[in-house]
Order: sequence, then structure tokens, then C-alpha cells
Amino acid sequence: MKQISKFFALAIVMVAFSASALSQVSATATASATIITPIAIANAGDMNFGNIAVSTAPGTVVLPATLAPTRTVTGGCTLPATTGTVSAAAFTVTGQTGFTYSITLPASASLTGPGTPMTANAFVSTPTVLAGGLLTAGTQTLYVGATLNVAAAQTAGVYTTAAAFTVTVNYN
Amino acid sequence: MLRILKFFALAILITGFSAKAIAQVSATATSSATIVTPITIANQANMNFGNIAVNSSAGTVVLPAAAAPARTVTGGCTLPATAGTVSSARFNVTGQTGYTYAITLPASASLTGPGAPMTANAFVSSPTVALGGVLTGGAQLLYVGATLNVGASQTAGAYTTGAAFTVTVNYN
Repeated sequence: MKQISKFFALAIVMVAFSASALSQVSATATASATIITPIAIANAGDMNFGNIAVSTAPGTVVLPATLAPTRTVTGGCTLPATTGTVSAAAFTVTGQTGFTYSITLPASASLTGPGTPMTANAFVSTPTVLAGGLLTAGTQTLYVGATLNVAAAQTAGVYTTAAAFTVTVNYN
Repeated sequence: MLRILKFFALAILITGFSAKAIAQVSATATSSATIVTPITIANQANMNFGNIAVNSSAGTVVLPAAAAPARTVTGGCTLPATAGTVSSARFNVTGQTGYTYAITLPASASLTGPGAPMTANAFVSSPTVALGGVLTGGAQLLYVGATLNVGASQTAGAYTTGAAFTVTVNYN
């Protein structure tokens, strides 16, 4: 009788085992993620409106955002043949190759010197704020220009921003 | 074995004897069995968290279990416009039409790459583990998502699971 019990116990164990082995199935999958290179921006050159001649009428000097900017003037401002240093601000933007980024420019900056402060505004950039930048090969040079508002009979001298203006970039 | 046979012989004798005592009658019954289609699971697509931008704070990327998962982030993680490949893991479960099945997901998986390993956990599925799946039409797509834990300033690069994670299904 004891041996019979053993036989049935063994049979039950075998049935239970084979049932679970047959019905439970598994499959595998991999998981992946890509951490992109953080975006960075570094100043590669400051903005300089160069030499400006003034008159009794106020005027503006427009500095485009290019590697070799050609200035234009309005109002009482003229551009002497001795231009001085003329440059758009330049920044090196680096990050993940092929990624696009947005650009945020300042609204205005104040240039202080011997006379009344002058305001630079209407900031522009290349690539433009509207189009945004593209990190072809993981880097791009970003140029920033602006319009300088010169008062009537602005006092002669060197004017510069007391506080540097800020340009911000971020991945789209 | 001999003793077992003896036991059955005895049992038959006893049965036969007792039946005789009350008037022997017979009836028939058919015996049927249905072998159900074995349940199977096959990988159709791997899990991919896509492109992730990081900063100096740790963060997470939550990948839901869906055909077209929309990621969400917490902490220092952001999602660039260039999303890369984003997909939940997808499995095809087949078996007996109308049958329900249980789903077992992994607790966690480790993604290795150029920086510190990242852990994916909080695995979720569609259909959910709580509800289980139903093989309407004999098949069902099972999507699996998870939460990726990204370190502060996680090193840029591609990360993937060294060992694929396992998803198990079984008939209820």
C-alpha cells in the first residue's frame, strides 16, 4: 500500500511539472537609449560697432551678424574711412552632430562712456532666431549683430557695455 | 509493479462483486479532450528610449507601453526635437482564441554604454499585468515600456542592455 501511494504521488508530481513546463513561455528584448552631447556655447569674439562720426541729428548704426559685417547708418551718423575694429559678436556652439537648437538674443544693451549712455537693440543673429541653428558636424559659429542708437552730438569717446550681454542656446 | 497489479486486480474483483449484488446495469459516455494551442511569445521590436539631453541634475525618462509612445521626463532630462528612434518593446503573443494569459515583466534592466550604467525599471505593459491579456482572434500584441534612470551629467553616447530582458506569458 505504501508503494502504491508512492506511485500516485510520483505520477501527480510528473503531471504537474509537465503542465507548467509546456504552457509558460518567454521572449526577450533589448532596451537602448542615446544620451546626446550637451549643448555648449563659448564666446569667440566681442561685438564692435567701430568708429562712428556724429552730427547734430541722432542716428543709428546697424551692424549685421556676419563674419565681416558691413555697417549701414541712418540719421546723423556717418562712417569715416578709418573704420576701427568692426565685428559682430561670435560664439562657438557645440553639441550633438545634426541636432538643431534655438537661439535667444537680448532685447537691448547699454553702452556707457564719456557721454550719455547709448542703447544697442534690434539684435540679430546668423543663423537667425527664426530659423534656429544646426550643429552640422557637431559645431556652428553663431554671429550676433545689433543696432546702435546714437544721440544728437553724442560725446566723443569709447563706449562699452558695463555688463556683457547674454546669448542663450538650447536644443530644440 | 507486481504488487500494484495485484492491487488493481483486487479492486476490480471487489467492484465486480458489489455491482453484482445490486443488479447490473450499464451506460456509456464519451470521453473528450481538447488540446489547446500552446501559448507562444515572440519579440517583434526592441525597446528604445531615443535621444535624451542631460544636464547636471539626475532625471528620468518614462517610456509608456504603446505602439507610438510619447515620452515624459523628470529632473534634468529633456527631449530634443530630434527624437531618434523611440519605441516600446513589442511582442506577439499567440495561442488559443479567447484564452486569457498572465504577463510577467522584469524588475529592472541595466543599460551599459560609455558612461556609468543606467537602470531601467518600473516596467509597464499594454495589456497591463494587473488585467492580463486576452487572445482575441488567437493573437495579441504586447507592448512593454519602462522608466530610464539617467545620472547627473550622464556621459553622452549610446547605451544598450548587455543582456536582453525577459517577458513571460502563461495561460491563466
